Amino acid sequence: MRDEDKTKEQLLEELTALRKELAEMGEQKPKTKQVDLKEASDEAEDPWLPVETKLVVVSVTSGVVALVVLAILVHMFLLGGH
Amino acid sequence: MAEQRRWYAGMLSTEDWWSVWIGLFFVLLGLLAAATSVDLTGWIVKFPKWVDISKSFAASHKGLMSPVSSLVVSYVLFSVVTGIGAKCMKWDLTKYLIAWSIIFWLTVIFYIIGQNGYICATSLDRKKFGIDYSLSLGGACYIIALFAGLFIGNFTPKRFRDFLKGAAKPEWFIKVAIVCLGTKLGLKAIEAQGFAVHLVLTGCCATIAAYLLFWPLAYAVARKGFKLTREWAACMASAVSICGVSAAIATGGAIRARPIVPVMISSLVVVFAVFQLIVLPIAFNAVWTNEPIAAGASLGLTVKTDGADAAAGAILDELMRSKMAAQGVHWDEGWILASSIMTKIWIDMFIGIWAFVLAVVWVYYIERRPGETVPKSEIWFRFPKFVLGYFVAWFLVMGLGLADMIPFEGLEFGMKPIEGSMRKLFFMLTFTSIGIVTDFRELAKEGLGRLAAAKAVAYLVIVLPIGIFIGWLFHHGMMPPTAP
Repeated sequence: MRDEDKTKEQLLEELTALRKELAEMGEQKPKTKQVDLKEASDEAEDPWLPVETKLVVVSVTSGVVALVVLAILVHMFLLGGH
Repeated sequence: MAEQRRWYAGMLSTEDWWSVWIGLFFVLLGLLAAATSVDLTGWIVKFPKWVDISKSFAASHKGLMSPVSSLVVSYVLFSVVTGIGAKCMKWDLTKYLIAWSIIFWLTVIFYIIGQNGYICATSLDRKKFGIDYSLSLGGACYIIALFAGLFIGNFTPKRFRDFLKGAAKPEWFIKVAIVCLGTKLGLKAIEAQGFAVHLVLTGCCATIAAYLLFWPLAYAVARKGFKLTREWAACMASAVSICGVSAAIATGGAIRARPIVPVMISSLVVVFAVFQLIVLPIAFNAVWTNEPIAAGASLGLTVKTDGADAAAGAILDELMRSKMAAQGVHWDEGWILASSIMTKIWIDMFIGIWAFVLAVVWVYYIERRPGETVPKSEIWFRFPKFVLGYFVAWFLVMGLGLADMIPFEGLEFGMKPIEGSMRKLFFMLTFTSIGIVTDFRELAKEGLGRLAAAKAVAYLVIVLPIGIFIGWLFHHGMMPPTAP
């Protein structure tokens, strides 16, 4: 089964088991309460790319256009009846 | 993405598919009852409002069996059916059945307490029950189940609550309930076809607009404002803007994030959803009774798990109808709930497409993996299957009714216990389970602060205001049909 098909509980169980295994191998102590998220904010390794700007701009622009067009259509053909 | 999967992969091994099988099994049972007039669904236990404890539960169809028999038969049959699902999903069956039994009977107790007339009777009910006062707390049973679940999930011994988590499956229970809800919409659509179609179309339009705005803005806030890395920011943006746990997991898969990323974000989603579930229905009921359908749709856009959304919709439905009943206006039950579910259903359907888009962007543009392709079948694998069950149930009931193949009275006879008693029982199981699986200690974990702050800011600044605005824009003026 692929990771994305697993439930949260299954993933957590696997994670706990892996940590225990590593700890037993003497490579790492299991972390029970602490979650290391320092890497989550490591901007130097993950700089903002032009494609991200493109993704955000294209999506927001499409969203605004969709909002206006669909709102007009809904008001013309649907909400007028209520 | 290289791994090849058959289109039917997971049909017997995922909660999503099992909610379809269980929901549709009972829908077909109801249709069989409707077509043959044999009472195949009347045994399902219902929990009406009561002041005399002996009338606190009964069989859905009066006279079919005693209340106690109905309760026991319901327990046994629902245990068997969900047990088969648990077995097929390779859960520890013994553990599941014991934990399920505890959750089931606790839920029954919470349900009975919450339906007490002094707690939930409206001003009109008071005359019927012969009581002088009541708190008129519509949806009290849901709140009681939620808080009792939260108490169990946070204050009971760790071994006990971990054990219960083996059967506390809010997403599974709510998906079964949503498939059952499809039959309700089918019955309602026969009576108010135009309104139901409008609700579907406006829900779809609102979702498209919201989808395209929520995600990129939340992603930009996470990346620029909170300096999160791409994998954390993408999963967080999906969780806060699309549909919580499933979106975070789907996005994690699409961009190949490490498993820990969606898992940690999912734990935050569940905790946040409880606050959304408690605060938003009460707030909307206080200030937005003049736009009930818009308020329901806004819930669908702003409450970020299926279970919490349906639960919040159910509470809002009860609260608003109780409030209006006191003013002499009697809205038909379920339309506000349906509007909250409808936007959420559309959001769920788009998860597959969005995960596909992200996979393409990540593979071809951000991580540039030479020679790798993203198969279109990913859209199908990401598609939430319970939505199929919902629409099949809806169109089956509506189609058979509109084509006059089964008379409306027959459909009501067969389907009412499914769309009423069974659906509400599974809603209640969802509330209890949400409480049990919600661990507030997650928020105290070191390192989650930045993520929680990013999620809170993205939610409060982007998702909530835009969701409310879009819900209003596409649904304002729509009012639920009045009760016959």
